[in-house]
Parts: sequence; structure tokens; C-alpha cells
Amino acid sequence: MSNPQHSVDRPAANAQTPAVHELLAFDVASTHYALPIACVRGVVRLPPVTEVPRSPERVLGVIKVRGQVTTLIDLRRLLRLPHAPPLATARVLLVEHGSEVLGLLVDAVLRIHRLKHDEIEPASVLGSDAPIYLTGIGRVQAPMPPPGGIRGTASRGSAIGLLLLLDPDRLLGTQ
Amino acid sequence: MTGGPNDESREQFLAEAQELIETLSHDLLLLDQAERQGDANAEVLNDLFRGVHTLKGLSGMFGFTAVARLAHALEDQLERLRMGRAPLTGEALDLLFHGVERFSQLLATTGDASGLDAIPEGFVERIHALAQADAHGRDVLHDYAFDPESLAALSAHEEHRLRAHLVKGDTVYRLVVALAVVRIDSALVELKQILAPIAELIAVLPGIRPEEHGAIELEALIATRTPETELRSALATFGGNLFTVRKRSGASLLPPAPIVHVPHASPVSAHSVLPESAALAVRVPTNLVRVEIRKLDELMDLVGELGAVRTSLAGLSEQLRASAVDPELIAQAQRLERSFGRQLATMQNAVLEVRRVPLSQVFDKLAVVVRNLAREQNKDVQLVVSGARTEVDKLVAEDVADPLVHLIRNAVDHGIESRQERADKGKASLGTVHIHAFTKGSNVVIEVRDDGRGIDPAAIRKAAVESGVVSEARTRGLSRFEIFDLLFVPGFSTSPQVSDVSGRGVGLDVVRTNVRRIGGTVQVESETGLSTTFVLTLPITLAVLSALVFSVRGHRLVVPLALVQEVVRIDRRAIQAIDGRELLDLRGAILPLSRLVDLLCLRGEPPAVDVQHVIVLSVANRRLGLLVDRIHGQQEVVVKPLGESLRGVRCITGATELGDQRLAFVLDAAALAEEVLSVGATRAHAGGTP
Repeated sequence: MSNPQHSVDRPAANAQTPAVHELLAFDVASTHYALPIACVRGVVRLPPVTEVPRSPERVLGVIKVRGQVTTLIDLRRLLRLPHAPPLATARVLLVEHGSEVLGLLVDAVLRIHRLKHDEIEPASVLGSDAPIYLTGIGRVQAPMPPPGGIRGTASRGSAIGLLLLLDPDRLLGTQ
Repeated sequence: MTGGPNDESREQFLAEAQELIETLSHDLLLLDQAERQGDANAEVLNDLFRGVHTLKGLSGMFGFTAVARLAHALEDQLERLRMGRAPLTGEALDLLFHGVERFSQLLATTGDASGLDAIPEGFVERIHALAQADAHGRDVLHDYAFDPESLAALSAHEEHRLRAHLVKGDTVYRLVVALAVVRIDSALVELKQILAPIAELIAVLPGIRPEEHGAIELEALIATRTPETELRSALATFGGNLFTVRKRSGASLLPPAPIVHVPHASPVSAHSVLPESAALAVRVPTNLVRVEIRKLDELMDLVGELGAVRTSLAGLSEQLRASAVDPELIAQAQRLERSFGRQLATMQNAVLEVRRVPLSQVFDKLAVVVRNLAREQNKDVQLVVSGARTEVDKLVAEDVADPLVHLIRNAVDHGIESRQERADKGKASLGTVHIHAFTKGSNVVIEVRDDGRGIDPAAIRKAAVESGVVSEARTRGLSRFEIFDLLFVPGFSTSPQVSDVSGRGVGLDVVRTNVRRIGGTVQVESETGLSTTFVLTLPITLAVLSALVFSVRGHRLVVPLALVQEVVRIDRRAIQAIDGRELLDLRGAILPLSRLVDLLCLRGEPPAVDVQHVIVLSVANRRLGLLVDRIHGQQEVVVKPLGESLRGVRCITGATELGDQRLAFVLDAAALAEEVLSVGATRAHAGGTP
């Protein structure tokens, strides 16, 4: 997994053991995504959200997490998915980005996967117009079936599922 | 960036080095003053030498070789000055100032190891060149009737001190006194005390007569410009014989009297009597603790959390009262809650106080700036400071330094006139920049006043129109204050005509933005031809705010209580509109209004009542009325900053928790006022919800 835009102060977990990737899988709009575990500072339940007047579209508002006022980002908007109210299983992923920690709202947090290099296909397999924040597609064993099943690129009824691997800097860097 | 032990010790080094440099700057200013008065201060030179020496050692220890090398060069120069081998000229001083500044620069390039190692070779060479160019003047000591053996017994430093005094025209005396051996130490202390206010005790040497009856004869060399009679009467109780060291006459050069040295049991040498001033000071332990400001922020956060808990408790207490619980228990709960509240307020104040530092930290640096600027431009300018003991939050102090430097530059560059111009105007040739700080309520006010050429409103008007900042027609309706305020408008200073007026405006918009960012305001007043005064109003603390809480369409907001003049309830129909703006006639004065719901693009249904609340704000001498839905009351709130991701949101600076996990935003009243009222602003929200 190559991340040419690695910011200097991100802990480079990939540099240590490029052979194995540790990923946190989560569900948004019935699709499974994953982020490198190294960039996730924590996971919390969704606290009350306060809207911020005149804020950018992707900002749902601010929440108070561990004493800090944290900006909550609508991951659906970033992934260009339709809006939906938060589920009971909704969680906030605290992700470091630049000088602050941002909150990403997800429908559910699944589990941690350890994937070997050969278990990940590069995003280019989807074609040259694959979104730039997608770094690869992982193949995982028996993921927890979300309500409604896995959409899109999975085979029905099999125990193998697909994980869309995201690059947080590319995901959050662009407006 | 990983914070390992290397980073920690680096941080420590940087902090210590910073302190050392501050002390060095301070000492250099003292030296500068002394040099101008023709009075080289030995102690200060020694302190400087010690400081640079310590810095050299520290930086060498932590591997900052460039800093160490620069320190070494400066140390050599200071040594020469100390020993009188180099004259203390303005040029020598400039080099020292430059060197200390270079230290600051080198240390400021943190995180970049190459920066710290980039050594200014050219600078070091200049120092060496200066060393070569030392005047090989005649040794003044030869002109005076000193006993050569006595001279030989002097240390190099003492010789230098003698020369320094003679060159200045002071008189040197020999005090010959016999002291009982047991008395010697206390006697010498006594002598030093007697002489301290009126003379310098250069050295104490063994006398020529041998020991007799348990007494030793000593000869003290004293230099002073106090009249002899005064010296004699001061020494009357001490005893001994005072002789003046006279100049040698050209004709007779008497051979020196033979000295008989009698070996003493305990040889009295100059070194054992006087502390060797070249000895390096051991670090003196102080009662101070250096604390990372991050830790103070965390403390403040905790206090904030406790505040939220307390508010919840108060709410619970209220609810209990309504329910059927033993009234005695309720009373107890309320007492506890109030007691908790009191202790919490005390703790909050204590934490705030810990974060406060005196403004002198900032002002001291400004003196160096003034000195350098004045020399650069060949003007005579002095910096006068009052109220340096006024304290503000450390962060406020740090952030106000840059704007102050900017204003000072402005004052010296464009305010203070050249010597000739001042003379022509009948002003004193020495220009003054006066910084005056004082507390005013929950604010600190810093005035920067120069007695230069002042600002001419007509010239500003002209420059503003020419640079397109405001139309000719508009300028006619402006008050004197509003005209001066034009200096702060971005675009004013980029006028193609670089006259002194627009020069005055250079970068003032940046100053205003930076001051605004720490919650302050800046204005300017002037007496044309006589003076210009910039007034900065800053909050004493950024952490806690006395705020007025209100809501618009269910969104909670707060505004600093200090800016609130009053709150009024008006009938909706009292609002008048003209030219797209809304206003209110409040007791005969026109109050411009702003609908926050429009300004902040808030959604929701307006409350179905005819009565509206208006918060009257007074921001930078202007009034603005905010139309809001509900007023919730006053509260002390702990303000938390918003993340970088929300930096673009105008009119909101920070958020605070009001007690139920929901957050309220802090309104940036100054930005709001500017958006609504300022002359150069475009009116984007001319009524109506988008």
C-alpha cells in the first residue's frame, strides 16, 4: 500500500511492517470500509452534536470528546453517499488529521483485520477513475453481516467479504 | 513528531537558552546606556561574559555547535572589553547586540537541525577584525606615580579598572592602614561597605612595612571622583593614611622606593581578599518552577469540566426542590452545591493567576528594537515604559509581542521625525516612544504613544480615496475617529504613493487581525504634529470569559459580557429600515441592528411573538444591536478553541459547554461589527433569510 502523501508527523505503521496491514473495519451505508488502525485515536459513542453556523457542508457540527471540542465530519458526504439519520449503533472514529483530531461518523464499527499484502488489491483494479481516497480493496474472511447485506462487489452467500481501504489524508484533505 | 528523551532535553535547552538570551539583552541595554553616559559598567560586562560563557557551555553540551561557536566568538570579544584590551565603542556594542540577536534567530529555527548549525562565519570574522583594530594607545598607567612592584602585583583585571578610572579623569588614592591579623577579614568588609557608595575599591595589596605586634600593613587602591574631603571624612573612623597618586612630572622620574617583602603566615593577596570577579557563577537556585503551558491548559480544562458538573448539580438541586423530598436534605444539597461553587471559583482564579505573567517580559524586548531602529535611522529615540508589572495570560503576552513590535517600528519609522526636523519644529531632539499598560476592568490596556509628527486626517482621507478604499463622497460623512480607523483597512497601506501617511498605515491591518485573534481591539488617536497614540485593549485571560448567554432559533451563543452595554426588549414594529440596513431609535440615538439569524445563516421558525430582544454591544467605540430570540443569563464560561477545520468560520471564535453536553459558540463581536458596520465592508446580508 503506497501512500505518497504521507504527512511527516503521521506514525508510519506501514513503514515498519509493510507485509501486514492492521485495519479497523466499519460500516457506512451498508458498505464496509477500513482505515489503518494507526491513524485512529479512539472510538466513542455519538454524543449530542451542536451544529456550527456557516460551517462547510461536510461538517455535521461539533461534539465534546475527552474535554476537547471536536469537529464531526459526515463521512457519507465525503464518500458521496446519500444522507441518513444516525443509527443506534453509530460511532465516532477519532482520526488525527493535521494538527487536530477529527470525528468521523460511521454507522457501526466492526472489527480489526490483519491483512497480508497479497490479500489487498490496488484500487486501480476498479479503473483509472477510482476515487483517490481509495487505496485498495481487501479480501476478508467472514465479516459480520450488516443489516441488508454487503452491497455491490461481494458474492452472495459466501463467507468472503470485501473491504474498501481508505486513505485518511486524501479523504479529509480535500474539501 | 515523536516525543522522545532527546526532544525533551532539546526543549529544556531551548527554554534555558531563551532565558539566558533575555538576560543578555537586558544587560546589553544597561551597557548601552552606560556607554552613552561615558561610564563603562564593570559589573554588567562581567555578567554578560558569564552569560555568554554559560550559553557556550550549554549549547556545546546539547550539540548545537553553531550556537557554541558564536558564543565563543562573543565571549572572546567580551573578555577583551572586560580587560580593557578593547574600547567600548558604539561599534563594539552594535556587534554585541547583533550577536545576541543572532542567537535568537538561530534558536528560533527549531526542528531544523541544519538551521541551528548554519553558522554566520562572516560575523565571527568581524569580531576578530574588531579585535585587531584595537587602539594601541599609550598606557595611561605610565603617566602616574604608581609603584612598579605594586602594579606588578595587580591582576590584569585590576589594572584595567585602574586605567578605566584614570582615563575618565577620576583620582586614585592609596589608603595605607595597619590592621590586626584577627581583624583583617571584618575590616576589609567594613572598608568595602564604606567605599561602596562613593568609590571603587580596586585592589588591596601588602604594604611595605613589616608585620609588628600582630598587625599587618595593607595598601588599598581606591578610585573615585568624589572630592577628597568627602573621602577622608568617610574613612575617618576606619583609620589609615590616605595618599593621592599623582601624575608624574615630566622632568623627575624618581626611582621607586625599595619594597621590603616580609613573608606572612597567611599571604594577603588581592585574590583572597576580593572575590575573583571572573569566577563563573554557579547557577543560583530560585523559587521558581518552569511549567509547560500545556499543563496549565489541561488544568484549566479540568476546572471547566468541574464547572459543568456544578451547573448540572445546580439544576438537579432545583428539581429536587420541586419534588417531595425532605426539605432538610434539599437545603443540605443546596449548601453543598454553593460551597462547591465557591471553592471552584477560587480554584479557577488560582489557575488563571498561575498563567499570568507580567508584561515586562514583552516590554524588555521592545527596548532593543527601539535602540536598533533608532541607530539604523540615525534618530534619537528613547523608550519609556510604565506599568510593566501589569499581568496578562501568558498566551496573550506572547501573541501581543508581534503587534507591539510592529507598532513600535511604525512609530520610529514614520512617527518620530529626524533630528533636523524636530529641531526646526522646536521639539526636543530626543524622541520618545511611551508604552503605558494598565488594567481596566477585565481588560488590559496598552498605549503606545510617540511624540512624533502625528497623523493628519486630511492626508488620510486623500490617501484612502486615492487607493480606492473609500469613495470621496463617503469620506465626508466620517467622524474623526472613523477617519483614523481607515488606517486599519486592508488596502489602505498598499497605496502606490509611499508617503509618510500611507507609510503609517503599512501593515496595520495585520496588527488589527492579530490583536483581534487574541480577543482584543486596537484603535489610534493623534494630535496632528504632536503625537500619535495606539490603544490596544486586551482580555486579561483567554481561558475564562464572563459571558452573556442567548439563543437564536435554538442555537445557543455567548458574547463577552464586557462588550454588552445593555439588553432591551423592543416591539418588532419599532425596527426601521433604510438602504437595506435595519436600525433602532434607542432613546434618541440611532442603533444599527443585525439579525443574527441571517448573519449566521441559521434555520428554524422564528418565535411567534412581537417582542424581540436586542443585545446592545459596544465594540471599539461603535455600537451594534443584535436581534436574538431569547436571553438565558450571565455565566462564567471556559472557552475552548475550535479546530483548524473550522478556522474559516467567521464571527465565531471558540465554543463552551453550558452544562448539558451541548456546546454554545462564542461570538466574535469585533468581527461581527466589522462585517456589519465597517466602511469598506460589502453588505452581503441585506435583510432576508438566504
